[in-house]
Amino acid sequence: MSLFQYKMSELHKFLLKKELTVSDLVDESLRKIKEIEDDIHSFITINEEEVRKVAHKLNNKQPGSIIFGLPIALKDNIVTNNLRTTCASKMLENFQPIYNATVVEKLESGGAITIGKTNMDEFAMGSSTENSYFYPTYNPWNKKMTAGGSSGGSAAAVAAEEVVFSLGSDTGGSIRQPAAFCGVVGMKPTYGRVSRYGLIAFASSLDQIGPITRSVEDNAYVLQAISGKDTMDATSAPLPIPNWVETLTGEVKGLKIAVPKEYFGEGVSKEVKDTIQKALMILEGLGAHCEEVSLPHTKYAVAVYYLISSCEASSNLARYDGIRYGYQTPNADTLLELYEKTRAEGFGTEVKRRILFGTYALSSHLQQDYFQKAQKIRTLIKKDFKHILEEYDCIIGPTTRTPAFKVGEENNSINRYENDVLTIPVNLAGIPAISIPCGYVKGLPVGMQIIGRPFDEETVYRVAYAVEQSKFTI
Amino acid sequence: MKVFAERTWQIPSISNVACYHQYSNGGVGMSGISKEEIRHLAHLAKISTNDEEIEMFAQYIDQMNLVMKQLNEINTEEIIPMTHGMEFTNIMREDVATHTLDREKAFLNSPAHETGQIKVPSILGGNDK
Repeated sequence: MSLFQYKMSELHKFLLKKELTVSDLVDESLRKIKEIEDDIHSFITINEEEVRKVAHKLNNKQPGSIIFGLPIALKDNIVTNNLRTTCASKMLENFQPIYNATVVEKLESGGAITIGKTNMDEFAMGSSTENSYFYPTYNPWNKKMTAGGSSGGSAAAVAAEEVVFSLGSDTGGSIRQPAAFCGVVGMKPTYGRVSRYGLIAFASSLDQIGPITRSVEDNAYVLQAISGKDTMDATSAPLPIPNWVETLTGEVKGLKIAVPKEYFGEGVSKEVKDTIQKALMILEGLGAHCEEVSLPHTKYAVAVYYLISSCEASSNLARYDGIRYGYQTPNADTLLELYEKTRAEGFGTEVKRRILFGTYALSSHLQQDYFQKAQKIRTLIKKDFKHILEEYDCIIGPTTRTPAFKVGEENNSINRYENDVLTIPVNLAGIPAISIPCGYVKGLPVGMQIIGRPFDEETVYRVAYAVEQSKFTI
Repeated sequence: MKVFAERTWQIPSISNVACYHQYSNGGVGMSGISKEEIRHLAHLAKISTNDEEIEMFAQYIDQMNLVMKQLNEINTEEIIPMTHGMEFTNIMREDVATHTLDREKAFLNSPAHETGQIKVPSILGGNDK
């Protein structure tokens, strides 16, 4: 049995009793990476030499926090001091950040060890980790399938037991969808729960960092460790951090669960629907009440998302000018040429087309019909959720319409965009949602999505834990 | 529980987009964006492009325009636009100067710098970098 099949709380006990050392855990991580990494490509950068030294230093220290001594992986859009952070782009291929993201400070000050930086779609734009400048990540369950994306490397690294947990970022489903495809637990917290300082911006009003773990309990521990108000991120919430682990009782009796009919519409495979229905029946057996509801503006979410995220991206990515940091073209004589060639050579196709679409949608003659219209429909989508969550404790549906898709299948087609219709609305509304494994179709995991009220991660975790604990009956 | 008995809603299909493009020849058609417009956008976004890319971007924007059309179904006249993920307003801090970045560190990732300043190509003419 791999050491990383133990829960974080068990590994913590082993460390406390000195049955394991931090070096044992780091060695296990590096051993597993050597064994499997060539097959799945979870990582862009592995920090082997440094982590052995850090582990050696920590061996003699008393484990304090539950994350102490644990080997972890970070999505490569989370900046790490002195450790290359590429965003899976040629633009940042050799970028060495000079500070840590707040989440990295929090984890490393608690003794977690960053084994490496994980693969992703370039600038988090994509849903299969095939848009990486370096190489695609393959699904540990079946290497002909994608790991999902954009946090595909982070999900695959946890699923393949290369690390104990990882962090991803979720702008339109980029934590939950790869977690569903790889059979692990992925949480997109409420917007503002976790500081975005040091997360390389894609669409700032949607981006949120969250944990990817093997169990719901581990997930709650990691979110507790990274949450909180941060003066470096004005959008982080000035709210106390609850003890989510304490509330994991398995108790769901009397909870009212909304099941949106739109999440079971055309395009959602029958097998996925059946799997989720079985899990809902288990929740009913535990005393929860499930009822069908409607979120009528769901069908507009994909269009609204691609407008808002592309507009925000076209502005956020204007900073890559080849002058202060990042790639610089060797083929320019004038300043204008330097900008234009640097950006043409440094960005991949998907990034460029989204920047151009964002620039287009923000042009003066379209701004009102496009960007502002999308912002208004975003209000309606948020109201849909608010209305339902006033009456129900949480909302449940599938995370994705199908299990993992094949590598190379429709990769450059915008048909791929509508696959995210079940995860995108949550980002637009800013509310929390988790994906947990709840069954298998043809040997591939299926993810169940549990959506909660703003800052009510507690109920989301509680329901997720109840389903997880009963998984042997599915 | 009786859920999903009938389907009253359909996920918007983008498949008709592909049909449209068989007739539009990649961006020339009903509402196709022109190559000139793409060149202008690429100039605004400071991305140099070649003819092949212009064709590809035009096709992409045409496809996206079709997807966006469905938003016209909704009358949003009275709706207030949502501009932030969460409604926290007036986030202030004490007006106290704090240390941010060392000058030397700030240059570590700069492709070209000299005597404490970042180098750029000549702006007012000439070929000096």
